Amino acid sequence: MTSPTAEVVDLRQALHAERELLDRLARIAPTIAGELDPDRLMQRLTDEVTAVVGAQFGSFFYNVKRATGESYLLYTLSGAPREAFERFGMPRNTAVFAPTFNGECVVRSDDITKDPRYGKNAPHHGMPKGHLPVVSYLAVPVRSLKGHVIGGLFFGHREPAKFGEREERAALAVSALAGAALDNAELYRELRELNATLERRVSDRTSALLEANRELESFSYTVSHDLRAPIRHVGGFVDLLRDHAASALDEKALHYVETIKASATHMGALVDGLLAFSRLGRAELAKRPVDLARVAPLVLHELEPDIEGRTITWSIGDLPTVTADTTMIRLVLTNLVSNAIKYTRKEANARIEIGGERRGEDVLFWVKDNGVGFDMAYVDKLFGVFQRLHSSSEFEGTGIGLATARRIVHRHGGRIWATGATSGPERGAAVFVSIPAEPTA
Amino acid sequence: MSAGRILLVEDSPQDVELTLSALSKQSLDDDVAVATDGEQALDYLFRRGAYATRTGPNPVVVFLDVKLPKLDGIEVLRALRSAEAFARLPVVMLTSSREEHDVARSYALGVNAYVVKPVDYRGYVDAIGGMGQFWAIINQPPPAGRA
Repeated sequence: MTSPTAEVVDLRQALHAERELLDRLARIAPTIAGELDPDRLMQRLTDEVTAVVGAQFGSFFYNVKRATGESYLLYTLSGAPREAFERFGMPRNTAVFAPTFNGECVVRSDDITKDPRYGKNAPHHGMPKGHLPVVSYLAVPVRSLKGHVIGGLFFGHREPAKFGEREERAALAVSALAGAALDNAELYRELRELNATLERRVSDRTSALLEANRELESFSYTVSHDLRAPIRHVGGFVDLLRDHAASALDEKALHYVETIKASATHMGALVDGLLAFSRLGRAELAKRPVDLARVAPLVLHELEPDIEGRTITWSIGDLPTVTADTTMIRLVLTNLVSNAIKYTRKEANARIEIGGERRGEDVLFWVKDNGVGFDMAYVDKLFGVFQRLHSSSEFEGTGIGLATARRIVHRHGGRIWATGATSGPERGAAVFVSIPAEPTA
Repeated sequence: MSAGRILLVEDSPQDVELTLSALSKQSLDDDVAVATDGEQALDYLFRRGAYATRTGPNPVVVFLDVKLPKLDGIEVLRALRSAEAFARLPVVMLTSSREEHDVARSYALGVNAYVVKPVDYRGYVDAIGGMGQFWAIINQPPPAGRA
């Protein structure tokens, strides 16, 4: 067995050193990947890389952006206490440092004090008095993934010729890691800030909404009490007037009295409708399975006075079960059917269809009629409070029914929409309601 | 204010007139004492202030509006229920609006009835007349001195 040549020994040693370096680099990656606090991240990184490079002192200067948008140069040190650097201030854009901070190139020197770039700047012309004794010098820029320089890694040793090509490659590898890590930390910071902003906004909006809700409640109370009373008075005194002076009133005067009475009654209905509408927004939902097939007959019974004397062909399909507040969903159906009855009034062959089916995750039900219908151009107005598409003389109403239905459906997490035509074979209106079959959390 | 079997606590003169008119159909309008705010109602019942010298029996029922100047109806009800002399006096809340909150508070304080004044006058006459008849004529009040 022959002993290996000196060349082979060297190669082996170099290979061994190279593998060790790779191992150490590989160990750095996971330790910094999980760290999102920039200060702790940089400290660990500086410690690790200083060890890998075999430097006595290592430092990492990097720019950070604060919430205000300003940049600060921060630094971490390894191998020397912070005080050792504190009094020198930040490295300036001197001939030695410039290539690093400008991202021009790596600066590696066996003895930096003999470098032509060294000692060119006043007032110190070299290292300030008391500075750590740096002879071997290695500095690499650190770049963001976006390409711009965000800092630099600096290494020093009091003995000359400590940093070779291998150390330079190691420093470059770590500088790439550092850039990515800083980018991550920056993204994380932005995310946290954005989150905080969002949370602040949500909280602001929530209190604004609560405040608006309180105002609305006090408004609805005032409306209910203060408006309802004078309406009652007008109606009451008109009745008293009629009872008291009926014989003295001629036909015209009686007509005026009846008009006042009718107006007061209508206004009372408007105020009551508005109040019911505003209460709907506040009332708790008591959701349970509701069989629409059982609700429909109750609705028709309730609307009996409107149906009396009319000839209507009813078509009531297999109605599904929805998960909803019983009272509220019944009100929706009542309002829809009541509208259908009203708007088919002038129809000799009035037809009203109540139908429904399970459709995927939702339950769909509808009320269709062949009444006067509406112009699709105004479909957006259909569900607005006090919005009416017919004059009161043509069809009476408060303009709250569909607004109420919409509010209820929305509170159940559902949708309501309508189609209509005022002429042709499709003449009439259809209102569709879609509500999640299972209660949403 | 005449002595009355019914104490009507109502600040709106229109409502007072309409209520008296409704009660007149039961011939009860002469039996009504009217207080126009909560403080006056308590003064009347507790015979103090302007009513320190009031003689005659206490009313058998109080028709109490919820929204009143000075002390509101709920506060009047609370004061009555915490006084030995009026803890069991029948009190009917009369109000323009159905506010769940008021209804709940009134019952918690032991109100005997809670009536929302109907907008329609015919309904109003029926409601007031019916209540007047029930509380002032049909109902047996608590024994005297224990009201």
